[in-house]
Amino acid sequence: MQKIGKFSTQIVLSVILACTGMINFAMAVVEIDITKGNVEPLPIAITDFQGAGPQRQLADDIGRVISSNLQNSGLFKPIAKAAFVQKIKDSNTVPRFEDWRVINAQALVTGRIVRERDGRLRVEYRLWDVFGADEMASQQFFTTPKNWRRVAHIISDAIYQRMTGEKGYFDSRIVFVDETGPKDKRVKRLAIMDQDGVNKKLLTRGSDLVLTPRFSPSRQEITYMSFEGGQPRVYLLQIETGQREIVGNFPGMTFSPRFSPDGQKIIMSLQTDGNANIYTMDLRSRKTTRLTNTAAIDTGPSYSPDGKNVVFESDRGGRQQLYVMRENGANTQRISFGNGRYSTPVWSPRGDLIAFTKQRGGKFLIGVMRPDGSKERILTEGFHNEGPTWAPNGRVLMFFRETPGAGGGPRLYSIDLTGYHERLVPTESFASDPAWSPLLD
Amino acid sequence: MKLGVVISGTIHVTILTWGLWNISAPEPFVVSRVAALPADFIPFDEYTRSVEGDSKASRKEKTAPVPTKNPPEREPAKNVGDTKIDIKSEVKAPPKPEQVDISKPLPKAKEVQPSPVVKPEPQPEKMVKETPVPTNELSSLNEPPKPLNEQKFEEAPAKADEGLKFAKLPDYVPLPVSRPRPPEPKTAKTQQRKQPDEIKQAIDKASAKDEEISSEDKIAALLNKQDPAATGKKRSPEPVSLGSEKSNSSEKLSRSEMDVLRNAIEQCWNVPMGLSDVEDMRVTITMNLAKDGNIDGRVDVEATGGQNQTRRAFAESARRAVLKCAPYNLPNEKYDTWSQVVVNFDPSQMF
Repeated sequence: MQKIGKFSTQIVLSVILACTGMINFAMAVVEIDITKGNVEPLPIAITDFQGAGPQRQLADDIGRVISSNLQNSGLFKPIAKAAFVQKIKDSNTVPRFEDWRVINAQALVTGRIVRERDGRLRVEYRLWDVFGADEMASQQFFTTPKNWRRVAHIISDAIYQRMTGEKGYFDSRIVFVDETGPKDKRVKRLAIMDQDGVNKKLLTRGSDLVLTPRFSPSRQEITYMSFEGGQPRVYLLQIETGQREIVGNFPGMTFSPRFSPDGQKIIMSLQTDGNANIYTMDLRSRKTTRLTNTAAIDTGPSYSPDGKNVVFESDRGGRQQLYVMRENGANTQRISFGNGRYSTPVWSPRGDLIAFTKQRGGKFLIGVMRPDGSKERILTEGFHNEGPTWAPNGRVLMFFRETPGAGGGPRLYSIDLTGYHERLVPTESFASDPAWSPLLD
Repeated sequence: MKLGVVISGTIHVTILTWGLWNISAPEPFVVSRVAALPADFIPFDEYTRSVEGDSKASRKEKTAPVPTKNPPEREPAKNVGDTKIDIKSEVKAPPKPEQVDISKPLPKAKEVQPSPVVKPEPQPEKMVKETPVPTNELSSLNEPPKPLNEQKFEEAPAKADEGLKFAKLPDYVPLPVSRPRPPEPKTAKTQQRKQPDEIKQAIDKASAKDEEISSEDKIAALLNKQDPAATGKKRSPEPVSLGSEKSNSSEKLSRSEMDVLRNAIEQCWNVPMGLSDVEDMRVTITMNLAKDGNIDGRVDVEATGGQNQTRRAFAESARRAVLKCAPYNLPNEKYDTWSQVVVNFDPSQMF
């Protein structure tokens, strides 16, 4: 009651304050509140980078990669080059902003490539605020010509970060399961590629079935499940050296591994006698710790970015649902209460959301919810969607979608948090189980 | 008894059956669907002000009133008296009486010779005898010419009392040279109006009277035009004028005009989607607008909430929105109300 009284006095006070404010300002000032806006992607003009001689082609390619990166993020809409009024001759001079305002470009990117004496490339770019008539950012990078694509990704990240305020994710890689061959005799191999689908590199030979690869947050390492030797086991693989090792010496089957945020531990499920429980293993001391102890199947664990909580799926309530517990296994709470079965939870690197796969009415949906289970949103649905993974900035999800039929197979897709910008990640062959790497150093 | 029940029952059944068919429900009252019309609530005084003036009339500016001057302050009078003009004479003490020594014999008074009295010389009266000159004009008249000298006055009829002396009358009196004209007939006339020239003269005369107004003041008054008052109501003595340039302070942008402005900015605002903590961020942009709707000078951006990077991106998106939207299309006559615009960006309801 006292609380209500206090609240009402606050309301009365604020109303009085608001009224006096109105009296003061109503005379000379128009004050309006903008509570909604345009959710269209931001129109941006990316001009051809300047380059002389052999750098001409490279300059075009870099511009194209930046343009494609920004477009794929769903937040930018590169303007067609045919619409450009001004032809940029020198990227070091201030552009004629009126010409770019006419075509409604809100930002403008110019740049050039110069070959240095030592054979390296110098790549410069400038980002202009068209309506504010100002330079927003400018940087230059030195690299070997072979590395031009990475420079294009880094520039994309810089533009993305400057314009949106969030870190980019373009300079990152995806590890996934590359699938070839007919449906009944699929060959599954681990592979790695850039986030835009190029520079694919195979990591395993394909003699054994591999599943659920996961990136280490701190090192060039992957953990995955393999049926090598007839028994499903969790493995650890060094990308650079190709060195492999089994994680933990458990008597049963281990699966769905994932790194802890500091990269020091692996959390996974161990199946014994028809039920599965969650364990962690410290990579330095090789010490294992049991976190759950139930007769149900607890699996798919994922750490929160601060490492204090773990989300996992369990059928202890009869159906697969999502639960959150402390990292020591205490204080377990169910967070998913919607209609259907929830699986493969992944905590966002930003910490604000948990992505999941949901089965409902014969369909597979990919959605997100807050860590307390509120504000569930479905981003996409289809015949078979599964295995979401977060981009390093927590803005975009990648998952695989399987098409039905004999000729059907899994493909990788990315979708942004609004659910509006879904796109196919181009791969030469079928691909499943993607896992996004952290940003490269 | 039994018969009564049967009769009663029969009548009841008959009436109910009749009523079932004849007393039917009324036709349903069908109201046609009308699309909602946007309506503004305008207070009476605002409406009255808004209809003052005439949009077709030309602008009439009035000269500013000449500043009045205080009359020169008069110093307090030094002498007390009845005169209206203060005579600035020194106040003198009355002369003291001389002390006279009685013991000494008085000096001999001088004999004063009486001055001869000057007799005024009798001046002969100048008699101007106007000799009437016979004019030719008379001959032009139809009357027969009369010899002027022949005119005689009738003597007094009573001769009995001759002892009485009468004043001697002049022998002749001048005759009017022209015949009296009858007064011109008066016709019904419209009320006399002053011609513009007369008004100007009158103004000049009036201003000439006031010698205290310097010519500089007059020039200043001519240059310093007053904003025309939005007059022109039926009983107003002022000429009809094209509204007032300076709006009344209570005049505000109407709800629909505000909506137009709001919609324009909302369309121009590309919201940076998916920023973390976007719900907590607020941006307030203050900008001055010129009369043509363009932004005058720099826009002032204030942002709160979120982290540095995201706050900057968010504030820049808001700034881009208001820059992109310019020039703003707002009613010119209300310029005073929208010369400064404050835009609050509040995305808390969006996500």
